[in-house]
Amino acid sequence: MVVDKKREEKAVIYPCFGGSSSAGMITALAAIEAVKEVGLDKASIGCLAILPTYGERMQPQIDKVAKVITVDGCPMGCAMKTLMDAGLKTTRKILLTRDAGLDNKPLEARMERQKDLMQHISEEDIRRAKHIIIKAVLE
Amino acid sequence: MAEEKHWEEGMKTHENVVFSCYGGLSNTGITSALACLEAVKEVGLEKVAIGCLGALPLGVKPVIGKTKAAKKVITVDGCPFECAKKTVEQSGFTPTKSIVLVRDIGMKKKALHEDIGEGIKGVMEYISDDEVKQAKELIIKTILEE
Repeated sequence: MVVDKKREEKAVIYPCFGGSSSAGMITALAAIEAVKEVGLDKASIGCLAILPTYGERMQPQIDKVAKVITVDGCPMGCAMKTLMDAGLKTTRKILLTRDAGLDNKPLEARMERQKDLMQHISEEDIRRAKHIIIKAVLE
Repeated sequence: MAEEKHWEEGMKTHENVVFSCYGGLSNTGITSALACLEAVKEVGLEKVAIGCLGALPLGVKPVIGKTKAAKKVITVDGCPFECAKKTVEQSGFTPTKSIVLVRDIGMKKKALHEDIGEGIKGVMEYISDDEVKQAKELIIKTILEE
């Protein structure tokens, strides 16, 4: 299939996008920044939410991808576990609290002090996470 | 670094929760994520947060609890696969409102791998600011309506 051929050299990144904590939000923002920087011919963001429902259908396509990278914000490791439960290979598992030294801030605990989402998200943390993702894509 | 205590029943939480599919392989999935982010920026964290969709099938207790405590559970899917809606339903919740961008704001889905080797553009060139704005406004309307 032409479609499969186009996927063979790529990395697919699965951020957890756990939006109720700062680290989860950063996975989503850093993943998109990484794709902006390396280009869609090198990497794209995978559809994590399709896997619990249609994981078996996705398996032949994902197995052809050169690199499958999960990016989790916190040690719950939901992106990594979702791929595992779907029976898919993961070539690199990034965990931002461990690999980028991020503090995992549950946003509901802080929302009264600061209700603006972006006050809880550090540009420097996004940049650091982006670099780790890009390194995993290119290495 | 130290982590704060996980949420438990009885603790304060966001009034509403929105689950984005963030299906990054298409323009519609990326738009769902960006629109949800913009909606949360605009209405504030007390009113709404983006839920951890990936945690629902795994039964992560704080995420299940915060979803149960929410007044509204809103799903935002890019395409008719409706992965966010299905994930929420399979976890035992009924979305208060399901938004599907191809249906509700008339987006046309574009699979981003299609242009590889044929002049592929930067990812944001497949995303329309106007569609993000339309999706954001629909999400905010759904959050705020009685």
